[in-house]
Formats: sequence, C-alpha cells, structure tokens
Amino acid sequence: MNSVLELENVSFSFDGKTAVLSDISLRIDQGEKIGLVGGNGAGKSTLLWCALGLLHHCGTVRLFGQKRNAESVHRVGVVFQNPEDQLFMPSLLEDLTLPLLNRGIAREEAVAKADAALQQAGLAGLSNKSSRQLSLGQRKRAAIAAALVCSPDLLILDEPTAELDGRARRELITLLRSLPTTTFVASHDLDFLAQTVERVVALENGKLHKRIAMYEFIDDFAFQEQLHLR
Amino acid sequence: MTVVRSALSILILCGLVVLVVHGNVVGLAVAAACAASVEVAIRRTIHWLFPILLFCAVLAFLEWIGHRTVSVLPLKALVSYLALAPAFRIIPWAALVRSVPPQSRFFPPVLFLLFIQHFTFILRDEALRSLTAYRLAVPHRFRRGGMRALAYSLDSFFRRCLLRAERFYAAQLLRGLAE
Repeated sequence: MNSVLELENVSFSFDGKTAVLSDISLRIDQGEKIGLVGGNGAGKSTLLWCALGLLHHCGTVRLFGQKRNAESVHRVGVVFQNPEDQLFMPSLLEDLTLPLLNRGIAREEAVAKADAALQQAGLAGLSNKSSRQLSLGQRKRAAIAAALVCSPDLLILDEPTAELDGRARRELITLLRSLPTTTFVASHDLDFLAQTVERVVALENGKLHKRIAMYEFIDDFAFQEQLHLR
Repeated sequence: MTVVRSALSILILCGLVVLVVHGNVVGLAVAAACAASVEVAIRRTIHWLFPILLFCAVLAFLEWIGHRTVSVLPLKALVSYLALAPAFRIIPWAALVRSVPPQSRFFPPVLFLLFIQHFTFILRDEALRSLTAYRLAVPHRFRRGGMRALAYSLDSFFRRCLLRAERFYAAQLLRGLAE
C-alpha cells in the first residue's frame, strides 16, 4: 500500500510549555477512510493544521511518500470547520474554477470540472450564487465541492457535521460514501463517523491511541467515556 | 456598463489616493461628508457608522495620549473607509474576475482586491456580531460594567477578525492562491 499521509513523532505547543500534541505518529494508506476522534480541545484541528504545514511543529510529515512540499500539499483537498473562510469569489462557479485556471487548465475544462463537482455536492443550480447567499449546510457542501474540484488524492475534513441540520448531514454522508478518495475526518460525531470511515484513531490530551476498527470503537462505551465522547 | 462602473470605481480610488496624500482637513472633511451621505442614502441607516467612528476616536485618543496632539490620520482613516465603501460597491467584481485570466499579470491585483473585499466582509460580519452580543449583554450601556463590556467586546472583535483572517489565509494557501 502507498502511504498518503505519514506523521512521525509530531509534537506541537502554542506557548512552548504546554504540549498540545506530543509524539504523534500516524500513517494513512491510499484508499483508507480514517476518522480522528477526540473530545473538545483534544487537539484534532491542531493535528490537521500540523499535518498540512500550517503550524510550525516538531517531527516529520510526509505526504505521498515524500517530505511535505507545496506540490504535495496541492494534492490535498481540505474542508475547514468554518466554510465561510474558504470561499470568497463573486460566484460559486468562479470559486471552483479559480484554482484550476490558476494551475493552467483551460477555462472550458475548468468550468466542466466545476459543474461536475457542484453536481456531485448537490449544488448544481447554485453555481451563480455567491457563497454569502448560501445557507451554512450549502456552504459546507460548496467547500467540499471546492476541495473535490482539483481531484485531490487525500481529502481532509475538520468537523464536517458541525452546525449541519439532519438533512444536510445525511446528504454529506451520502456524498462522502460515494467518494473513492482517501479520507481523513476529524469529528466527535460518532454516528457520522460510523457511516463514513472504516477505522478511527483517538486523540486524548495530545496523545494518539492506536487505531481501531470503527465497529469496535462504536461498541466500546468505556473508551468513548474516557475520550469525553459520551 | 462594466466599463463605466470600472472607470467610476478607478476614479473614486484615484481620488481617494490623491486626497489621502495631499488633502487638507477641510478637503478630507468634505470628502467624508459626501461619501457618508452617499452610503447613508443607499443603506438608509446610520448604525454601521458606529464601528468606524469608534475606531477613529480610539486612534485620535491614542495619538493624544502619545503626543498631546491629534493629526489628520483619524480623518484620513474615516475618509478611506467611507470612500472605499461606494467604490467597492461599484466595482464589477464578477465581470472583472471573468475578464482577467489567472495567467495574466493583471490577475494578482484583481485577486488582491478580492481578498480585500473578503476581509471587509469579515470586518463587517464580526463588527455586527460583536455589537449585537454587546447590546444583548448590556442593556444599559452607561451603567456599571457597560464600558468594561465594550472594551472586552472590542477585544473579542479584533481577536475573531485575526482568527478568521488566519483561517482564510490558510485556506487560500492550501488552494495554491496565496503564495
């Protein structure tokens, strides 16, 4: 199996004293769908930010078998917890085509890809709307479409179900299940994870527990209690 | 129409630059009054003026504490904000983005303007959010704790703006647009 994301002894601290992440090692192979679970403040988002090189950390991060660089980071699609900070163009179509055009793809091809991504995210009729005109659920799906449009080899989602209503959540589950892409999802929504990932790694007080199968984790109430998930 | 709107917005922006660099107090005050009138006529409210007036007042107060004198800087800040609002309203964003391909050397300035526009929206959203929270928490502004709450509200406003700006920058960096 080819390694897609590999973290080796990653540690991070905001103030240089209190460790938010300590000695994290993790490997995600191609095609895997992995969940990252942990209570509030466990360091899930920080771990994702470190993996993407957005925070200066100790340890090594490899993306697609090589040391993380701008090229490898561009093969990753990311959806942050707050989608309003990801989209800024006058229309969704422009938002989705921009990174493609920026990479030198012809406009016709970029528009076709953007339309396909919007269709996949269930936003086909909203391509001319600005992200500011959308509901939060639609914005979240638009951010996912923006991540998918570049055909990423790894999709990273941070709390994808936060602030979503029941239907939006269900649609998101359907969308994620239909994707063949390697996926790494940070969430404390166990029901959502049970339907979208195969294995989970648990983060507690900045330390990573060994990965376990989702079906085992979902029945382990004591462990969930320990992680503040129940 | 796109050409007219582009020309008009460029005219306003150029006028603003000249005014900020060479303008005297009277010129700046007249420009601020004109720009404010236009915005008030469009929005039909004046409560949106409060954050920028507060910002300019704090700026003037800090200058006075530092040098015991107040320069035209707060007035320039006010004029810049008030003139940029109609200019940003007039700029034909969608047409501008469509007409300039990303490979063009004119694209970085367009992208820069779009980033500025987005930051303006962030500032507006956060100012409204902070003010609403402050009003709900403090029904009597001039009674005990009112001013303290305002100070903390402003503090949270700046923190949230910074946080959102960081998140926005991180997102664009990952999309390959902020390098």
